[in-house]
Amino acid sequence: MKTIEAIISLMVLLSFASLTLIQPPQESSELTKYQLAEDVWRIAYLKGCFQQEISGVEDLAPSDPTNDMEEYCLNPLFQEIHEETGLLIDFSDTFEASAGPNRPGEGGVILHKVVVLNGVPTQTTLAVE
Amino acid sequence: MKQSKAFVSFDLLFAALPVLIMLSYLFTVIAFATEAANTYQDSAELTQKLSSIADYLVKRGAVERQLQGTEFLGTASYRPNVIDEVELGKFQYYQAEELGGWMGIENLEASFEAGEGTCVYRLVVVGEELELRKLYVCGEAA
Repeated sequence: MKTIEAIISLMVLLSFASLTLIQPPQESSELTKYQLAEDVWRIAYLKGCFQQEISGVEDLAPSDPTNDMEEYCLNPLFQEIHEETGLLIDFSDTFEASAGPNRPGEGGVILHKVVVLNGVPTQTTLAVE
Repeated sequence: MKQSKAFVSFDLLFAALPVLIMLSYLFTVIAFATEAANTYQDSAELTQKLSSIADYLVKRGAVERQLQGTEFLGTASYRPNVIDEVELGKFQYYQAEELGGWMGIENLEASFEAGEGTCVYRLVVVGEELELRKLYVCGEAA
């Protein structure tokens, strides 16, 4: 009888542990986040954020294309999307950004895309969380 | 002898009572966990179905298109994420109910306003000005 009691007591004790592991369903799955990140990229493309003026040969000191792209198109668009959806979006023209301080937290996703900047294909990173 | 038998019965009763209470608690926890798991599974399944429908709508089903040739013999080019409100209306009017029934979703609805039940949304643009909108796809498990 005491053995049975001990076994049942252990099961009850373990059931407390299982109760703490039961979590409510996640509101937004990773798949949905990836789809939204692709949407952000696609809309930035549609809005012309990745179009660049072709610099003339005489233009010896062109402005930084990444800064222009971010300042005049991407940042306002990301701000608008943030106000609409609450998504935090970070764009970087380096591949390593995904491992640095800009790495998104749990539930965030990262897209790597290639953009031509000054005629040079450049790996860029888009983080959405 | 009768008195000792009664004492044995009381002893057994008091020994068994905690066991029964713990067993009933255990069954309650198991029932709760099973229900939570089922709810989670249903919710995840419904969300995935709605995500699939939303993905179809923003890539093909409700986007602007250019047709060349006839509708059945020609070719079409699509503009993903650029929603054609006429095509969206056609989906809602002609296809939503049939598709929802086929996929086990009730009250399937795709619009720019959040509807009833579980909803997923996608980011789209509308019109020549490419106005940013949220396209909601909502429904309930059948």
